[in-house]
Amino acid sequence: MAVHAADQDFEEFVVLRSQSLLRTAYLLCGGDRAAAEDLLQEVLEKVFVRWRRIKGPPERYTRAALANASANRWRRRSRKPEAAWEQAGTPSVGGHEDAVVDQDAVLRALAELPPRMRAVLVLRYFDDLSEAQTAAALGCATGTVKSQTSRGLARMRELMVEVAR
Amino acid sequence: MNELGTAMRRASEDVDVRAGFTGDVLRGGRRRQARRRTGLAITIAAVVGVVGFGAGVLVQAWQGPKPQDQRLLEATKGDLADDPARLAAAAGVWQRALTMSWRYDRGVTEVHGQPYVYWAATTTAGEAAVVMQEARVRDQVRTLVGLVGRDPADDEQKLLGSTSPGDLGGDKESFQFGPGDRTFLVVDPMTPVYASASSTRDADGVVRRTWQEVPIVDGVALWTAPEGTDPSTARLVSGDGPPTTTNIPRERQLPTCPASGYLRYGQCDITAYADTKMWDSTPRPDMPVGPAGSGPPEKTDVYSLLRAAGLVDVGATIRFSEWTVRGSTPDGTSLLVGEFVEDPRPSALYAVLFRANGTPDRVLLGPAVDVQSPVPVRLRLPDGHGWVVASDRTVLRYRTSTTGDWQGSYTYAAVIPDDAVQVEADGQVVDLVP
Repeated sequence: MAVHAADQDFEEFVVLRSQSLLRTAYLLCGGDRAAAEDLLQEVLEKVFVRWRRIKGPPERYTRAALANASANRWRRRSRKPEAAWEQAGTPSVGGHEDAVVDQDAVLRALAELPPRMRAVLVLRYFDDLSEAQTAAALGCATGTVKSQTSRGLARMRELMVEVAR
Repeated sequence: MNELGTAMRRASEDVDVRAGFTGDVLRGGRRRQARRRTGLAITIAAVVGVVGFGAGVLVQAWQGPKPQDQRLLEATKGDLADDPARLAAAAGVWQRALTMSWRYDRGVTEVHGQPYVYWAATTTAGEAAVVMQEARVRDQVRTLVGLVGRDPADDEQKLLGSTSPGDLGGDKESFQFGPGDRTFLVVDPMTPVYASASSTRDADGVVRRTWQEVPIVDGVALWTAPEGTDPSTARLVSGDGPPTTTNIPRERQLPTCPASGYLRYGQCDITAYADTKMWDSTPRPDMPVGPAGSGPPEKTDVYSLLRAAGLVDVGATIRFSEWTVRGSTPDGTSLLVGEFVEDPRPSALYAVLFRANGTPDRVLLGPAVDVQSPVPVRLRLPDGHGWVVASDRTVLRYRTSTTGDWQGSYTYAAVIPDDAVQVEADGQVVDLVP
């Protein structure tokens, strides 16, 4: 009976949270929709196996698992052809936030980052985790999150400017 | 909400799960659960297998065509090229360093043939060797290049740096090693190599560097930063002729990763950086000045403007503030003011003035941001355009003499007259020092 109840809890969790989790996975995969679905499904299947042993909010656990899995899943990453960058916009500073960054260019820049650096940026800026929460999710030091964030932002800017020249 | 987060949300807002996803997950989860319950013996066998594999040579022999990179067919260069024991030792260090996680991090799915020592020589930083090996990196055959040398911490021969040709810019064959990370090595890029130890800024904030050509001997350029200079400020570039500005295309730049950081972290991206404080307490990232609707175009590529103006150093890591002051001066000149950090320098202000047609006219480097002040942003514009001031305090006023009446009433940011001598923010007075 307990297993059944756990199954139902898990199923409810998947139904309610999959959309949000898939969007995180989509960014973690640099905008590769198919890879994101694969990643999320794989992670959720593993979460199912461990469901009853998860302490604390399962969504936090799942997001951390997603980030870690994406950082180690370079094999399935579909690398965008360089030509796609020709259409990338340039980043800018200032102005209305919702009009400043070309989201397609952001996806392309994300796709070019090392997976762990990309995971740090997604957790920090999409999932709104603090530096400490991000560090805990990825199993690294807060200083590493700080430096990865800083360098990731700088790298994204460089990538987007570079392709626009 | 931050700019990047907003862009990420917009980029992903149309993404939704496919029909049947939940069922697929449940079926997959149950399959995994069943496998897990019966997989103990298989797991034990696999662990034994990993131990056995790890104890041996990691690099698989590869029986294939000749390497694509012709350098791998040349004779080893350097004064230690005829010492087979040293070459074998360097190759052994390389092989041991190519662990599974090392390969994962770089997208290496297989390595081809045996490692090849391209160069081995005695340097001022001790014996060193450049090792190369072809590999499949994200579905392409690429040459991995690493520098093997002495770790000053324990005098052991180790891999001190490596390329990561699957990453943008990761194929640069340039390294930094030795005591204090002062020695730089570049594998012959087939064009001259130039080095610059440090940069200076002229009165306008323009970065200046002097460059010296580094001779290429035996297939590598070796250069040691002068005593008394910080090697993190050194830069190397390639190309026909020394650079005349610091706005140097990426393809000419030869970035290096200090061996001390590489040895500590196994890669370059997470080496320590100067955590320079920025003014980030403003409640309004976008602070308008001047008439409503005035101001520069929505998209302004400040990074490129700063680079083109020579206001940022080549190879510097740049971070921008989330806040900006946007709008126009009383005479209608559009302006954009913000803050940026070029590690390890203090955070500084920049200003962009625009022509009437919206194109950038002038780019200026301002003073350091006075983070502790009630009015952290105080930047005097040229040609009598006035002062740009900004604060996280609600009401700003100014006066043109220290005993005069306070004038104006602005919220968070303002362009005040050029002859203003003091600004007041919620009752706290700050002098304007030209």
